[in-house]
Amino acid sequence: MKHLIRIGLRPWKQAFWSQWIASLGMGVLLFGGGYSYWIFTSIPPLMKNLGEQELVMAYLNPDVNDQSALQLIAKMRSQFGSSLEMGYVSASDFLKKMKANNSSLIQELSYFGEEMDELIPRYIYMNGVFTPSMKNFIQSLVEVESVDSTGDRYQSTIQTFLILERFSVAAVLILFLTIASILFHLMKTNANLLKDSISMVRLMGGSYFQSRIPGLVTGGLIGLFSGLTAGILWIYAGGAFYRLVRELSPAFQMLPGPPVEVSLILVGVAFFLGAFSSIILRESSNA
Amino acid sequence: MLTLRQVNKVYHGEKVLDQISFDVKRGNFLYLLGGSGAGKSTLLRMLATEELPSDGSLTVFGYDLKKVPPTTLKAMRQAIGYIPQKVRLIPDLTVFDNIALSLTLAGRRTLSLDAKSKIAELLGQLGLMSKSETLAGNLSGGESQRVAVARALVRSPELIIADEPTGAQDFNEVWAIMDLLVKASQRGAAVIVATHDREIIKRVQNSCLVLKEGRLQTQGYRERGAY
Repeated sequence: MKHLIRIGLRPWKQAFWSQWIASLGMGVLLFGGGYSYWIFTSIPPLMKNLGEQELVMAYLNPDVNDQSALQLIAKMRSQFGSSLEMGYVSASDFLKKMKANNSSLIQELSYFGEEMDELIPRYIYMNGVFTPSMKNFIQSLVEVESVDSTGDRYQSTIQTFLILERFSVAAVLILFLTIASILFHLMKTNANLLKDSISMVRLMGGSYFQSRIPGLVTGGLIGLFSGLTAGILWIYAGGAFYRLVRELSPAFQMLPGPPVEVSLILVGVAFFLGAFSSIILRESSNA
Repeated sequence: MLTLRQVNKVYHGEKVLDQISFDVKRGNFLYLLGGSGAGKSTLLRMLATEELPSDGSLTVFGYDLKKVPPTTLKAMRQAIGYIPQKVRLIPDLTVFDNIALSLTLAGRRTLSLDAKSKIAELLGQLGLMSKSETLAGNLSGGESQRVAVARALVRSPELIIADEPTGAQDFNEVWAIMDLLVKASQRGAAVIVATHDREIIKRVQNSCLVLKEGRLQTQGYRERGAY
């Protein structure tokens, strides 16, 4: 066994820098691939959440005063919990919002005096995910005159996320193909270094497993170093990338942080890829 | 032990071996002669189970090489001592470990004292005792060839296939190698040796197969003689 392990170490002795730099490069690519995959898997829940978000406006009866409106919000909060963002827009709040862009309209409304309160819409806005029963409850309230909702207000953001999702899939595929290509060429080179020894192992009656050991050692070490590179990058650079991604859009604030356990998965995946690549090495010996 | 019937070998459309038929029995000592490119090494590679015939039947230890299951092939290979022309020693291992590997691959997890003394005896007979702990990658061509001989013989194989085993040797080493091969034959192993050395053939008289352009030209059988 120790003899076969020593055969597998030969590429690392004879071409140390080739093995090391290729492992490092593969590790960086694997980190990129892992990150793209994480974005790919994190985006659908975000899109689903945004797609379900609704802005509901409950317009109040003219006879509901500001005090009653605030009581109504408290009633809704106790009914729906804290999952909804809620607020009351009074007549004066409405005018303040309109003032900047529609000063002439505000001027005309001021001529109505006290009747203005009956003309200007006063409403409670609610933002979040609504079930049909929640909407029914709002409509059933006597203080509410009518209910209006907008369900597709994040449509353009969802489209952007969809593009990002597709881009991350493409990135995963491209990075995986690049890793496979580097690994294939590296193992082909290693196969040339080892094929005579492996063919002799087989010709001397070595078993199928024994003839695999040198390749497993060579490929496993490449995989291990790649995985460690990717894992270390995930732990130390992953957080910085996460902050960058979150700054791209307010919608990304909901993006969960990259789990640290993924670094271990990256080590495992890289080791598996390296060990699997030993097939190339063994099959290149003719015996 | 070995039976070949109408064996052909074709590489990229070119016939390298053409209709080869002969038998080798236990204890036979056979020379394989022929010029460069006659097909000797190809034939020996097939006999060593490294390659399959393109056509015809090659039976080794009673098994058709084309149909032999992997476990049987492994056992067959453990009973064959192959000395290839390009010796293919493992350069990262010492001379001793290269020979020991041959034993451990045959299923011996740890080397017994007997096995170690057998390796030492072979190294002594081949003039390699002082090189025992030298890495094989640091050996000369002739030394490597002798290590390959020791590697093949250490398991006392039933079939020995040697492709130019004395090509890079001095006079004394040539006869040390031939002595070991003849002794192996005397204990019952079948030995096939490809050589160009007329002196060897003259002094160690045995049966000869002559290959020319992939065809078997002559099959001469002589009684084993002293040298």
